[in-house]
Amino acid sequence: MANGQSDPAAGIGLRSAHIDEMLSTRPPSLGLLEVHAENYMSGSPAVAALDNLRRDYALSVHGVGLSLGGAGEPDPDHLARLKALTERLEPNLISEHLAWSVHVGIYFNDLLPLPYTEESLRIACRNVDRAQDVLRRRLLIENPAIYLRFRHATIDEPVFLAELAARTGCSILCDVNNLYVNWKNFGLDPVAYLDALPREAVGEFHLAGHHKSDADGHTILIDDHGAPVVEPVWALYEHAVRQFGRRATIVERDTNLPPLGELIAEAGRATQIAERGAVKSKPVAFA
Amino acid sequence: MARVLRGGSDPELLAAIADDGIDAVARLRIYRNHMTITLTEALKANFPVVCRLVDERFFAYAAHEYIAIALPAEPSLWAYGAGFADFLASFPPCRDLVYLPDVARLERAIGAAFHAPHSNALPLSVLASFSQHQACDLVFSFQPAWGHLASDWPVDRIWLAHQDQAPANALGTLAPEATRLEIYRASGRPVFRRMTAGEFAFRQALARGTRLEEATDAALSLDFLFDLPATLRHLFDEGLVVGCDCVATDAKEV
Repeated sequence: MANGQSDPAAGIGLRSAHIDEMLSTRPPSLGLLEVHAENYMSGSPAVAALDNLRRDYALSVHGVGLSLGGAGEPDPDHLARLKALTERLEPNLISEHLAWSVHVGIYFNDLLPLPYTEESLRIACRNVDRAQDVLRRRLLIENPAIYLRFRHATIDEPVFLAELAARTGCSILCDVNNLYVNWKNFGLDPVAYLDALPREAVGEFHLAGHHKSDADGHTILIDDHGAPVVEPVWALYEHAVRQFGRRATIVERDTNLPPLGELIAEAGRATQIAERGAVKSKPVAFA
Repeated sequence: MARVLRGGSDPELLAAIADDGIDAVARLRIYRNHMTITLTEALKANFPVVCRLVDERFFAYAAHEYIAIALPAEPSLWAYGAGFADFLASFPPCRDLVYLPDVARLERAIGAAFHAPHSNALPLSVLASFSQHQACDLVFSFQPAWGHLASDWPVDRIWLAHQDQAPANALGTLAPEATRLEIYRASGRPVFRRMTAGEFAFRQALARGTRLEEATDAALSLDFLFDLPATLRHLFDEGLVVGCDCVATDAKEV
């Protein structure tokens, strides 16, 4: 990791409401900041604030708009903007999603599901290759929270991700909350999911909260990044750390933003678990 | 799926969704709701004073109607809402809030000023490199962050009265009031400033690339007290001028 740290760090998703406080307090316990790429693709002074924070923190740039799972190729203009941003910030990590969000010039502002088939795998590989060629950087691709599955899917999601990593050289960003949400919503076993991921390809973890909602009379978990990380997700994170080793970890919060200190405390807990998980191997219960 | 997210139907898609215990329509509604909620939040972030003027519930209703006809064209959501002011102007439930579209235009200009790229500004001394004869034929280019807005309402006072730190009843009685503003970025923050009719005409003319002499004539035709030296000094002092050329045949470029 950058900035003299030998171990992959834990940090937070940096939101604009916390930038001034970060600049003035520079909490030393954080090792890593992650920003949404699209919020900094302008000439705003916020980019200069990142330049400043970059001196003290490793940086991860997390994109939401490349639509790598979409049928079309990534928008070259958007890719050029991402390239300009990453060349300026020189982040330690650049990540995107196994999802689509753009269709014929319309941006849907959501991470939409794709059918896991050989055809969509070829398309996703083409798009990741294209993005990595332009950026000249390895991407981390995040497993999504999903709310529907397709009948004609022929590949399990972790196998799809593992194959994507094998064919393109990309890494995997393992969102632990998404594993938990998909487990509760679809019964997808998170341990089996983690077992199917290649150890060497997993390069980062995400942690976040979710909320319970109702869909057609059924309780469903929604990955809204609007609450603290729940205990079962912490336990699943500890399991993942034991399986894959210590990795850069981000606590994300996008709605119901709490005081900065609460997020720093969650990142601190991630650090403790990573340190503990890296040296012990007893099983943990996360159900 | 894109068709469904835009409010349409797609029987083929419904048939392709696995039966996981919840109706396919309900599953698609999760995505559509998420899209609408997050885009409403984006509009609220881009138009906070409009939201305060109409209250959150009405704003969510207006945003819902806007999102139904104008989804974003790009993932950077600070740019979303280019047509929101025009939408509000034609939105029947808003017809009594006649100043609302111009407040939205001011917020849009403030956002644009904040996000615009910055170019290196020229110092006032650059004018000394041109002869007096050339001065009439000067044309200027400006920071992309520089914008202008004219309204029949005091949208600047309305905006200020709806900030967190504003005193109660800061606005007083609201009445029509011709208001001309320039909006730009200073020390990293968007700012706006009122202008006279002459200043406004001058700046708008210059922003269109009009020669200095013609821009000055436009200002003086509206305001015989128009102060050219002070206005030019302000433009340079605020770092708004990024290019200055003489368009006469013996042009000297800087």
